[in-house]
Amino acid sequence: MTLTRIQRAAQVAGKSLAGRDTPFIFNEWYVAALSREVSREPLARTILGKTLVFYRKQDGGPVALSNRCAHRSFPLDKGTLVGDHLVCGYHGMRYNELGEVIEVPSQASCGGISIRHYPLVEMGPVIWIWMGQPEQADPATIPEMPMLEDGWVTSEDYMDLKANYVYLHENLLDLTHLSFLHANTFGTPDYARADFDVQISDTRMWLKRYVMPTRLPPVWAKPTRLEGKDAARITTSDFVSPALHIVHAEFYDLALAESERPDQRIKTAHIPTPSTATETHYFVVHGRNFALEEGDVTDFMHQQLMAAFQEDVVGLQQQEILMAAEMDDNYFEISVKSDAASVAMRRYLKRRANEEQGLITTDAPATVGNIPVPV
Amino acid sequence: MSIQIEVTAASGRQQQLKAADGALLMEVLRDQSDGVEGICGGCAACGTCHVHIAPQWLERLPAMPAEEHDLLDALDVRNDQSRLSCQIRLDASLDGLSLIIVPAEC
Repeated sequence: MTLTRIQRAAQVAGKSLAGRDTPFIFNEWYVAALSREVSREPLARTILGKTLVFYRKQDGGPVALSNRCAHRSFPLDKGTLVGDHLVCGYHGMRYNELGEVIEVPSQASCGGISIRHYPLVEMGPVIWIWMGQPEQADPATIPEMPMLEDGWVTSEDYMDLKANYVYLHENLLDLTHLSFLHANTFGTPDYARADFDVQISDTRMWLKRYVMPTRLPPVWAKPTRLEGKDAARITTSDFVSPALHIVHAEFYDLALAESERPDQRIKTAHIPTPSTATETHYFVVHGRNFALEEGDVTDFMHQQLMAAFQEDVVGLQQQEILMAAEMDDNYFEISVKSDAASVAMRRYLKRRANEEQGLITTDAPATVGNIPVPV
Repeated sequence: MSIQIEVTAASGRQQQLKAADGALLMEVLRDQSDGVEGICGGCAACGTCHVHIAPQWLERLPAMPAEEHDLLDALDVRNDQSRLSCQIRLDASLDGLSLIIVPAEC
């Protein structure tokens, strides 16, 4: 088959994009769990291809260890939590919270046996984990989640996405899909054709879309009381880090002058934590700055949003099934204008992965936030 | 201020185009000439904005990113004057720029 110019170009361009075959990026903070998921009952979870076990100490502090007993690879979450220690359910090796074996039942000495423990930082409803080089673990580099810091009302949730995390990031950076994949929930037909701006730096990409005049879908129209009104819906998709994407949106009545508009904004953190090449822990933390006293608004918005995000899960899983079924090395995808931010993002993820694999070197470590943060 | 560029379109016609300072060369050619499509919107992923720059202008252009270099290699009529016009933002130093739009080979 003779390829056209655009097909040949797309084939070449595709090689620089991260995808389901790209190694994970380890030197980043990822969300490991919602706070409420980690308890005195050991929790097994695979993150970046590593099997981990989580539990809380008696003082409430969370612990993450390799879930694999150093002795015979038994899963430690099947063992017993005794005080702050985890006792393996197979031969009784006893681990402290640093992963050090402090007792081998059949002998007196432990001889410095240990498994890896992972630094955790609990922040509001989520627990961050550092999976990278231990000496590089710096809590100051945990990305900000502004909806938690500004006193907004938030809710959070977790979904098991059976697809690669790169495609969730891509989904979030191009909201053209709202008019199609979400036609039955919070998409409107005018969304895909709305004007947008793109900002791209070496490490951060965002796309801001101006949908106006529009009619808001129920999830936004009801709590903002903009039902039946010509409204503006201005949404920014912000790739903050390989572990975090934040959607910012504001809504207002176009009939009102700027000075008369109530400040009605939402910020939704979409948090893709890779589990395996084909599975992602998809956490969501959603916040709003209006109707703060109305608990039923929290429930309504949460239920409506999760119904929409479930459509993404279904769509991304359908895409993954197709890609797995037809693993043709020569296949390539064509990118269009609204992909500019996601193409830059996928090049960045690939570059980061290649750096960690030692395939390329850079002079300076990546820095975050060298372009204005969208508000 | 506006910048003037000398263009040989893919159809062969000669044009003198005016562009605003800060405009993306790809968009100027896409909107005012023929042979440039810019399907990917300017992220060096589609090759539909390939131009040959007059030699005396080459050194004044912004450096070529790796993605552009790799992509040009995939195109048939790459030569020493090849650039993707989506990677060139116009400014006063490029006033008088002269180029040929490379027709799609197939």
